Amino acid sequence: MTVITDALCPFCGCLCDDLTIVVEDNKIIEAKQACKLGSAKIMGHHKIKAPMMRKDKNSEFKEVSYEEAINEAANILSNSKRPLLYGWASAVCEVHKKGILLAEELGAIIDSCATVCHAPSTLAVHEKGLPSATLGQIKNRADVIVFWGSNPVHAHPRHMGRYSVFAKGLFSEKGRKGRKVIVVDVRKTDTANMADEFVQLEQGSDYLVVSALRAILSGHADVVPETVGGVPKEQLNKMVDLLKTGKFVGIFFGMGLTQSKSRYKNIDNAISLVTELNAFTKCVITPMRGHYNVTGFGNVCAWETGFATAVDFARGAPYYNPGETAANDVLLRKETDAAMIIAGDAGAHFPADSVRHLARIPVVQIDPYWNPTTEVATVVIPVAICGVEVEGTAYRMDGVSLRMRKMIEPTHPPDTEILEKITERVKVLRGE
Amino acid sequence: MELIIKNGSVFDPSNGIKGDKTDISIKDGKIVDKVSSKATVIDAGGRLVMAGGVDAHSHIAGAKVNVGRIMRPEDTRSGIKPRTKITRPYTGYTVPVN
Repeated sequence: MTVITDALCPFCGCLCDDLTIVVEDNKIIEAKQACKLGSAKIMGHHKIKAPMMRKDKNSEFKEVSYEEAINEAANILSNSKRPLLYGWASAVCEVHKKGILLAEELGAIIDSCATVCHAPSTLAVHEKGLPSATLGQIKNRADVIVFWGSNPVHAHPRHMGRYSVFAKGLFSEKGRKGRKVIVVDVRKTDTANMADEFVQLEQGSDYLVVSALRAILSGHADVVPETVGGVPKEQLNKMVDLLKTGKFVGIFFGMGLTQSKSRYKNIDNAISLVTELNAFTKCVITPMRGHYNVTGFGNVCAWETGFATAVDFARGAPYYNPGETAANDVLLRKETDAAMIIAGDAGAHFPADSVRHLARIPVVQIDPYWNPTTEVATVVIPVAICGVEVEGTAYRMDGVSLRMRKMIEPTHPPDTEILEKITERVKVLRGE
Repeated sequence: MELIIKNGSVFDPSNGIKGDKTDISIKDGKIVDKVSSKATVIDAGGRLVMAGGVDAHSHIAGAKVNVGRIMRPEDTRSGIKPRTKITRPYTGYTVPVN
């Protein structure tokens, strides 16, 4: 029996680094400290046993060798006029780098899961920057915590215990007792049930509510109506008082803000609120990133291409224009004629029309797990699980990079090896 | 023109020289084995001798550089050079990539 301490969890953007993993006969038998979500991934489920291919989407998969699957994947991608390489968020940074090399070789579009979660945050950062802090700073200093459009009780179960609501730190030794917690959401979530102040707004009115808070903060409460987005003015005044009088305010925002009406303008407005609050107190804002290394893809893509997401190599050099070059843009326009989905699940998370188009075109899936994307795939190549069977670098939601540890020996090759072989095969097919 | 730098502690990592006291002979701008007795002598006693540092303090990598890239997509609109058979694509001005 082997015990691995201080192991990292490869599930959500919290990237918890305090796990104790118990291994027996190359099987993980316990993942101590992990939440239910992390534990389910680490313990393994629905793993794909062998590479598979099928002639058309209506036929059954047949198991094939890795060589056959890699050759067919390379054929599909090199024959494509507008290939899309999507996913990446559940793989380590070393995989991202190989993926960008393949995208360059193919002249492909490369995009990550951020396109359906925090890509609007990136657009807002272009406009306003990001007054943020590490989760350690927030744990040690914050006495007011805000969750806006995010529900960590279910999506980031250990966030509140390790970094925000309950965590005891250097200057926050009382933990929960020393903090005020505000939750802003359209429904009373389990996180809202734990809040000191729950601000329930109407769907799609986030921009209005942020604007009202900014008006009150800047001394223009007189122009704010009695109710904004379903929130009474009295409660908005109370919220502004709580924010202004906090010694250190940490605002976390999720897809309730990024993917509702006004999208990136919501984040733009929220960042302006944070900037203005810094005239009264210290205030920071942090996106609640979902997949454990979606932040890592943004970093690798930025240092390799100059852009964090939605990069198009069709012109031979990186080109970026979300709304035109994001994964769903090319799928909804039926522009892409082949796709590779890796370390992400477009089948589960994309709009129905995008998935319909994926069902029509050849799709290569590279993933350890059987998931809805498998149902629209033509070629399926199973790989080792990053962060469990393969070590590598990942970025936490606050941009801190951490080294994922290998817990057990892999039963499949790593993503990096598969991508290298596909790239080499593409070069051969193109006569390079 | 001939030069000889004498008595310095030489650092040359690529040749494994870590502070050895040795002389460096230079002829017409190139390091050579020997120079004549007419060479100008530079006494570097008590000093370090090493290759010149060019842009010795540069923030070429790291999370803050990535944040800079993410915050300024317009910076990558200039300096664009497409991929060739032997080079990767290149973009950017103040925070270039590749």
